[in-house]
Amino acid sequence: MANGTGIHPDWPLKWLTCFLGMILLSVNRLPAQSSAEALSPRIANYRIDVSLDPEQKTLTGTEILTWNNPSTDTLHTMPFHLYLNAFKNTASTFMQEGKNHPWMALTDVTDSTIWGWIDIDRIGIKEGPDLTDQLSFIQPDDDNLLDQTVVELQLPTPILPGESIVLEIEFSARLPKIIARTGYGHNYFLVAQWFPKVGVYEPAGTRYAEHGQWNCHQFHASTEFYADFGVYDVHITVPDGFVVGASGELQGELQSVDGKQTFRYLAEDVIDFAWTTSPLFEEIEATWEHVSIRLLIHPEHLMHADRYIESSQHGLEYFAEHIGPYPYSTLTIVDPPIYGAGSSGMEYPTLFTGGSFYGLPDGIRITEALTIHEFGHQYFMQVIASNEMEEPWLDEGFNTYWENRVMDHYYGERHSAIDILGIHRDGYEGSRLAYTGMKMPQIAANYGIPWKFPTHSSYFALTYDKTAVWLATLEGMVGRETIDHIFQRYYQQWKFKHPCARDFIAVVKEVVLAEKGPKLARQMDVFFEQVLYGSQTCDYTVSEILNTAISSPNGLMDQDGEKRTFPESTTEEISISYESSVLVVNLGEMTFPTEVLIRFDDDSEELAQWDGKSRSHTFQFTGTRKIVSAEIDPAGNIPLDLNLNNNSLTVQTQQITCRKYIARILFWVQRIMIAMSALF
Amino acid sequence: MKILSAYQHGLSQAIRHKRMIGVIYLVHFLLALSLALQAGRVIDAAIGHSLAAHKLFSGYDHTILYDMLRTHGGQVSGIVAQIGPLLVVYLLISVCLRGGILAALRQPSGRFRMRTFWEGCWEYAGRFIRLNFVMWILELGAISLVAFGAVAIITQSIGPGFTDRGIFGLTLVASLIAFGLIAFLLTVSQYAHAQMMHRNSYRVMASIREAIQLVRLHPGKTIGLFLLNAGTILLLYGLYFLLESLIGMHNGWGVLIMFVLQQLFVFTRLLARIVNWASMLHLHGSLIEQTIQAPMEG
Repeated sequence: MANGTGIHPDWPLKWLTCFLGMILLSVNRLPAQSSAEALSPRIANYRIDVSLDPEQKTLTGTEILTWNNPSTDTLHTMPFHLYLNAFKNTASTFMQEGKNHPWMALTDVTDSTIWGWIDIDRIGIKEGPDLTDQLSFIQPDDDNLLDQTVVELQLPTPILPGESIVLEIEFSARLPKIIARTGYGHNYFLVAQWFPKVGVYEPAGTRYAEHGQWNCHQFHASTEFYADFGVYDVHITVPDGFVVGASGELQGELQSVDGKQTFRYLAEDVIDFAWTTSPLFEEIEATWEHVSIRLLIHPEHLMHADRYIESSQHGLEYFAEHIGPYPYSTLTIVDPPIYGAGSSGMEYPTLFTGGSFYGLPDGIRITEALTIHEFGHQYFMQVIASNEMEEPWLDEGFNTYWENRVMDHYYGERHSAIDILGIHRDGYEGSRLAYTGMKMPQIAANYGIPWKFPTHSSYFALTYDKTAVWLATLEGMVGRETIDHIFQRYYQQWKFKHPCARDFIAVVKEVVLAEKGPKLARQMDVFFEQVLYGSQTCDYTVSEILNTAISSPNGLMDQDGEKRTFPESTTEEISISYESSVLVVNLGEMTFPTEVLIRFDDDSEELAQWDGKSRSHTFQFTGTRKIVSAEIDPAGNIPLDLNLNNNSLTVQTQQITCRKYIARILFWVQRIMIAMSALF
Repeated sequence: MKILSAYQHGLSQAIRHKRMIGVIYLVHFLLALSLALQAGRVIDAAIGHSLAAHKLFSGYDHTILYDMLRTHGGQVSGIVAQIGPLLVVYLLISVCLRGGILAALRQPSGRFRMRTFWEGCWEYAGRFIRLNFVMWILELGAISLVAFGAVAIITQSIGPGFTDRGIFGLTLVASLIAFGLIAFLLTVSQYAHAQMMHRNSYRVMASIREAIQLVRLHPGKTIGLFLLNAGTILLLYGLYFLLESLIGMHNGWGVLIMFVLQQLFVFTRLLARIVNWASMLHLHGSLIEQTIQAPMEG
């Protein structure tokens, strides 16, 4: 109502409302700041708005990146990962290197609908100049000029030490048909590595950086990812009816128009952000202590929901007890459909994809193993953010070791992975046999540039399985309690940071010195020299057992100046002693201290020590007893040994085993023959 | 009922021909033993003087078996490579023996004569090999047709409307169809053998055609008898696995007892085969006059 001055009496309230509204809007437009105490150095913070067109399989997005210079260096460039360009054509480094990979066999490169890409449509400093023409593709790892997975931005003004830059990026992308990890399968979408992601700047002293350097590799067929911690505030718009799951916590659903809905997710102190959507997801919720578990599962796999939930709870419990607390409040498990199986078994912050099949028997625990493995990645490479591209064993190998432990703990040793129709196997066996079963285990060292491993299969066996096996060997040397303390210390010291091999080795030496003493601590250098940096193999064997009788002398012996006959009386018994020996041999090049258990015919035993350094060693005994068997490493502390069957030797042949298996094989062949004659 | 009386007749015939079954069992035993002994030598070489043998005796051990395969893979491959040729040789022998079996079973006196058996093997070997060759092609063709059809459906249809649940169901249906086709073809094969002998014919395709006609006209009796015999064999397997779970091979006596039981099972299984043939011949005899009109040339 007017008061004669021409100024409306309500104007202060209206102006206040507008002012507050502007503040709220501008706050909403900035990348989210910490809502709680920061767990990590929040270097790369993203506010992303993205919209999915499920028909065209395209993404349209805007990104505000706030990047904080963690170094004392002045930076003139910024590289970005454009991972989706790996799926643009067969000329990319990823596709070139992946020619012989298993997933390529299932890829029809003549199908035009399979390709994906990502373009930066515009990039500029917020409220500053347009820098789009300052972008250029670079290939830091090879000479492949057609690879477009890394783009470099030339900055008009450098980023000074400790300062920040805020960039506005408009991007568009097309998701590939799922070949490896990301993309679509019909109306199922697993959206990963989908936005322009800044590389990691490693200040001097971080990992192997002697000087400050950008670490931003191309996307290779055998590598995964590396990024800095930050806060992700992501608004995802999808058509009505699509169920969405994502990293972090759902902040609320905003109603939209035109048949679309927008979800806001906030993920703090994470190195990445992935999301998934499908109109077919069924949701199942559970909890474990402070953690909300959300399972997004396809209807045909609903019978396996309990397996997913239970195994994820096992993982949460075991890792918390033996390594450290899970630092996030959410965990999302995604069950891909069969036409999206290429996205199975992959980890992202607080979200991972599992895998199952309709009718999968309970005794084949693929679902459980995948769930526990991918959950374990929340620790190894999400929280402890090692560089997966350069040192994949620091997460894959470590995780395989812990996956085996969790599986055996909850599902039984020797039976945890497979237990069906009398055939059984556990994770440890699987890892050991994947490594020892290589045609040439000495083909390469565990430690090496992943994309330069001789073969894809050797990359897997050495990175995942050999690492798990040498960790099990380390456990054999120092004991379960000490290895738990090693990982607890490693977690405590390196969570939310970027450790490298020597950081882990330093932790090992520190804990072993404190708990086991200097002698064993000194052996750790030799240990890692062999298992990590070398390509030697280990194969101990018991080569020979001898029992040579020594009887008392017969004939004339000089005694007291006279020649006397021995034995003195024909009734005197001739006592027989034995000189017994066991020859142990090191057929390989690795050396580990070990024990040798020798059994005698009077049921007594001797446990001898061998440092394993010499090529062979003989243990000798003299007495009235004979050796019946000898066994190296009776406790099974050296799973790295290529052949455990030759670790023992018996004097007598074990006939009964041969007879049993001859009878079984005979019976099997007879049955096959009869069945064949009945069918044909 | 004709099926039951045929089955009973087959059973009594089979028991009367124990010596013949003994000969067939001996052939099986010697052929299979040649492989089993080689495998036993490999096991002995690999772990005969190792404590691993103790562990393997107690039960399945994936690590021991895998390490053994790794270190003695060449020898194992050599044994495995013999399985294919051995099975081919055995199939040919089996087909030849079929002539002797049927000739012996067709004797009016019902008494077994070794001479009749071997003469039958010789007399019908060539014809039965040709007949079975055609039947093998038909059976493989039927299985391939079903398999390719299923794969084609799967690759074209996989998506939100046809997931692994659909694949599972389709595989089940395809397996049932394949089983039905195989049961039909095996029944036809049996009656083709019988028809060939009945007519003393050398014409394979004509014998198969007449057998198809016979089975089509009397599906309940012919396929029913086949399924009854198949059910008997399943019962035998069930009984064996029950005994194995109760006794096991956990010590020397267990190994010996189970070996005897296993060989007893093999003998009984062969006896069931003879019951199968004998009951089929009996049913064939009672059906043939009603069905086949056109005379065959000798």
